[in-house]
Amino acid sequence: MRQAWHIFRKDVRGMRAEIGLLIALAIVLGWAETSLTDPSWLELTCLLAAIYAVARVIHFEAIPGTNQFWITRPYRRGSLLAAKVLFILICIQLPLFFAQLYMITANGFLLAQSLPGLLCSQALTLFLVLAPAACLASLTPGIVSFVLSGFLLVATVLFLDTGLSRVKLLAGLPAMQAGPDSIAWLRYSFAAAIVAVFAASVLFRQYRNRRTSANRKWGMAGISLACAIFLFMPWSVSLRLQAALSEQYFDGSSLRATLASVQKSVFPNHWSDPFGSYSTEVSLPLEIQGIPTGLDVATDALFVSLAGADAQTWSADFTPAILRPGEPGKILVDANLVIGRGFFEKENSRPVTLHARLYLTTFGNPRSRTVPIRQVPVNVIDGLQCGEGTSVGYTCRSIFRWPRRLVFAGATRSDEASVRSVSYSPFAADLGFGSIQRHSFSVPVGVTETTITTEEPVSHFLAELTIPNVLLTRYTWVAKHKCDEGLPGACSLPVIPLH
Amino acid sequence: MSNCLRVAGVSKVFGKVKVLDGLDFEVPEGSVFALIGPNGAGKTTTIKILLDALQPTSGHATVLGVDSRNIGPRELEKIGYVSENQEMPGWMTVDYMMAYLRPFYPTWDDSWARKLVDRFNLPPDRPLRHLSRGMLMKAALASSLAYHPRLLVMDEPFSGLDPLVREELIENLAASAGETTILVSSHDLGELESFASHIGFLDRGSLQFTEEMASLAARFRQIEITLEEPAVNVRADVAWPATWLRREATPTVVRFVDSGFHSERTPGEIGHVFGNVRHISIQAMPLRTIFVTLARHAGRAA
Repeated sequence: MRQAWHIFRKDVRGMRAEIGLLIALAIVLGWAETSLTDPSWLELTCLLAAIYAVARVIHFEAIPGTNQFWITRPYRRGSLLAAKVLFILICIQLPLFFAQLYMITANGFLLAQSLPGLLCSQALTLFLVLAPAACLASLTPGIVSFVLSGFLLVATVLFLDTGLSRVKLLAGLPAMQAGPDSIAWLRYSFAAAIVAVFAASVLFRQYRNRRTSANRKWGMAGISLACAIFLFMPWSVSLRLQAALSEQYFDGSSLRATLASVQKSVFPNHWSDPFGSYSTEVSLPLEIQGIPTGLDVATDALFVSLAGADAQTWSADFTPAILRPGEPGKILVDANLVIGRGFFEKENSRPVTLHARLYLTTFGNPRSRTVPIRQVPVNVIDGLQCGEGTSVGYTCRSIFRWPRRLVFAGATRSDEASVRSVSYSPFAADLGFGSIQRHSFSVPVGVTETTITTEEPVSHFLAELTIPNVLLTRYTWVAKHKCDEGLPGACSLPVIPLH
Repeated sequence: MSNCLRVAGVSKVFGKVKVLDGLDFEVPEGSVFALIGPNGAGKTTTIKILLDALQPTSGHATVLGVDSRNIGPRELEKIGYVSENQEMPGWMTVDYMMAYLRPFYPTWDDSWARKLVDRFNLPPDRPLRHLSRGMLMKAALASSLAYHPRLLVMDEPFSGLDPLVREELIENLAASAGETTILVSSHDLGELESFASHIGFLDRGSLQFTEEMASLAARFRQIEITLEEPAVNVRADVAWPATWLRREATPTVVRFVDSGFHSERTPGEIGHVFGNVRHISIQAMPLRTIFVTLARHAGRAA
């Protein structure tokens, strides 16, 4: 430990300028989060400065290569690694910690409520930003190769994130399908956990054996595994995992489904296939019964398969589902299906059987607090601060992440507005240095106080539903312009004119 | 005398290129072993394997009694390393580097360190990146001698240095010889001659020979023979001894290098090949000339 401290002190002396810059940036970031509406550019600058400092300190005793000063000196590898970790924690992480602490207090958030978010944010920064940066630095001999490798990695991730969806062959990958945001945290978490574990392991191995070539391959294996999980992990697996993590068990088999008598209650979306293939949109209004009264429900995902009379089937991996309020104990779900031409043309005139797997989340344990509407935000509940914004109306904000809650705001229960887009992630923070998240609510003019109500997810469950004798043509809509454009076969389908 | 370094069958392959091919040599304790050879012979690779900067493809080396692959801080506390290619921490001043290194070495000698800095005229407050190449080498040497290493390994320490600095370095190395075993690779054969006790000649990854300096100097002679008659009368059926290298001849004068000179045997061999000769000139050779002879001979043989 004495040697680690000795090396650490040398690193501090050698990197006074970088440490000074980082502290200055942290101070500015702390100020910006209270004073600027969008300090994201500063967060990015801070992030890049931290990554640069990590690379610099690792490269003081670069691992790859045979000409470094230190490799013929009696360094203990464990002490060297400990010195670098110490530097990252004290000289890089600590200024960011204080900057975040300042953000909390300067913005008037309650420290006790924000502490889990602060610690989580610090842990995420350490394991998902600083550790991978240190890992990459330990595999590169200098800052130039570090920057180039970093760009290559970022470009690869960006390509995977956006570019792959444009490749027709890969359009069927799970990651290319739009899925529920509420459970996306699972895929991100698995990929991030793999990145963190491999980064730590590569770092440890590099300092132990200096087998750079082998450790680069090990690191690439980790990145490939993380990408594979991110790309290939089906939404259904995420949903099952989320259901398994449910705090309360709910028996989904008690639910029953029928098709609502109304043929259309919402105007169907235009649907276009980016690759030009022709399909038919069918909107099925599912009426689900058996939901315990008094519970709020969210539809997380819907998977539908249709079975024809001649045993021909069609299925969709993930189906957009629009939830509409129903009578007590009931919910209405619009299932918008885009059915392949072959199946539709064969089965549209005879009854098919619909099998649906509907993933639902119920919310409960409501907590409310009525607060006066003021210009300056006041702390309400669950880490939320609400106040009258300058231009966007009544706004609630939360530091580190939006709470894992449904949030309602209104003077009375009938006029309340809600934020229903909620991530079920159990982590108290998202990845990022500052990230104050805001949502606005419309509040009637003239009211002086509002009640903020939050409900937490209590149960995630699967309901397997079967509806026989569904006549698809009753629920079919074809955009008239498709027919007008002369799309083959489009005009042979029943056309519901746009009203 | 025990051996400080021992290299046994060491080979190193980079991709498809064999850089070292079954190297075998030993460096006795207290000796100054000069590893010489043309560019690309494998001198630096050998040294890097000895210090565990590179792993041998096959064979093994022992340094201070420890397998080179297992060299740890305990061994490195007793080893000094100076290389023209070494990346020094440019931001450190000379004084700070000495102070920083001090706790790493239990045998660090403060007064000796100060003397070295003074003797080398090193500017104590100047960052290493602002030092000239010669100054940098002197700083590296000072930081490697200050703890009285048992073994000092130097890779081309003299290249690019002006004669005055070379002389200073050699003086200090010569002063340390005996207490410290020195392994030095260099092209500067003139300098090596003055203080090396052993020599190893490396060519294309193979060690051609290792020998004590005195023995090497004794067996190499530049010989010039003036014949009684033109060389056409030289007996064609007599093969020249294999130890005669770099043979040159005019009709009446024959020159060569005898790499196996023996004061009694060699004149007899000359008589056997040339018959009566008018004059024989035998001259001792400087290391540089011996090296050139060997290098050219090896090149021709290859």
